[in-house]
Amino acid sequence: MGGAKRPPRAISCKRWRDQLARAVAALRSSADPESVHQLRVAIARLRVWLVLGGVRVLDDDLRWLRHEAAAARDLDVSLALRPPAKVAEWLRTEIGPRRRALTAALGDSRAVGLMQALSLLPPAPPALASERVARLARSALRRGDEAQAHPADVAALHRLRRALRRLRFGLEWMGQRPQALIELQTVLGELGDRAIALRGLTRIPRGTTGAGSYRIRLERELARYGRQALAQWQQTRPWVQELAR
Amino acid sequence: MIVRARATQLFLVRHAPALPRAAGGGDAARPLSPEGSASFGRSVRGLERLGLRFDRLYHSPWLRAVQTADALMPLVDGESVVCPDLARAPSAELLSCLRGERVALVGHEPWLSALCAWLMLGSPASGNRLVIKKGGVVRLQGKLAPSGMELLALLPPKALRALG
Repeated sequence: MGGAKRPPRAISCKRWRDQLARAVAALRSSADPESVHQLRVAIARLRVWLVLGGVRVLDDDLRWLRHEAAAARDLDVSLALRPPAKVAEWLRTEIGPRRRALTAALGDSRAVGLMQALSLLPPAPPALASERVARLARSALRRGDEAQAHPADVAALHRLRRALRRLRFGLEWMGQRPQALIELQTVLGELGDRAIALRGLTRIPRGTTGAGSYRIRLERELARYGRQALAQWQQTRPWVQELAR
Repeated sequence: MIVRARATQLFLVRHAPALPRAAGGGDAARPLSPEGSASFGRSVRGLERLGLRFDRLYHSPWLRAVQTADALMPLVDGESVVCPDLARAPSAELLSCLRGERVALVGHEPWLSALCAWLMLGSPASGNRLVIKKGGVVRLQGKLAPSGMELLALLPPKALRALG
């Protein structure tokens, strides 16, 4: 289920901190979709690294920066799903303001301070990290049981997605490659993308050509990915339960 | 009806004792010493016994301030915010970004005492008359503006540790 490697001696955040810095540098000149995505991935990984190291400060700052990128990212996700032409045309009118807002946030002193603070943090000790990964596994189990009990509740599936993402990142910081979680996360990611696109449609002007049928298509896909995710979760659950001990 | 704005409670916290600069390392990279970390932990328990809690915690990005701020997190009800303005002389930019009614700032000397003097007396230059020890806390109350605040307490680290 997971490719086990020898745990690292100390867990440095350098790789993902450097990725964050590269994404920030790229986004200061233009908010291209890939850089927005890399920024959010790096932030999510660094938030888990803070958890492994028992560091509580800087999490709010990372969460703030991720939120600042969310609007741009949601738009990119919605466009990537290839909506009908008129829907896409409407979505594109929002690109400029959202990307400008992100560029402004990256110039904020809070973002500058965050990058400096991250560059100065020492590596996380692995002994502490192991216990924290077990805690992430227990959290994933709770979220999984909740989603299983309420299979039509999309919000519960989102909470499971976030919990599994944190667990996956925690294991990867420890040098492991949890293939089952990566595969499950892919399915939950597809579900998440459809939910984002549906949320975007709530703002679209009434009567936009193709919006109605597009909404129906997204809802069907959302339901399908939800069923697939829960089925895969049932298979993955015993392995996560072992991690939680 | 006159609505009076609530006075801000401001807590200036000097970082806990840190290790000296490492060879090739910068001042910003100095971590807390093990003794400094342990003693500040006791100070935090002392702050807790005094019933002090914070809406928001702002801290300098320098490592010793980050680690000091981290130790204060159990007393924080809201957000922590990294603030580069706390790693330089006090400014209007610093005051403009502060939010909350019970606000803690973790920073460095001589800038914290300059900030204290500015908020109390209207002049940062008078800060050289104030001694804030490492791990010490100054409690101010009033309006977040030059000459807008009054000193409520100066809490030296030894006293906080004794309470903890």
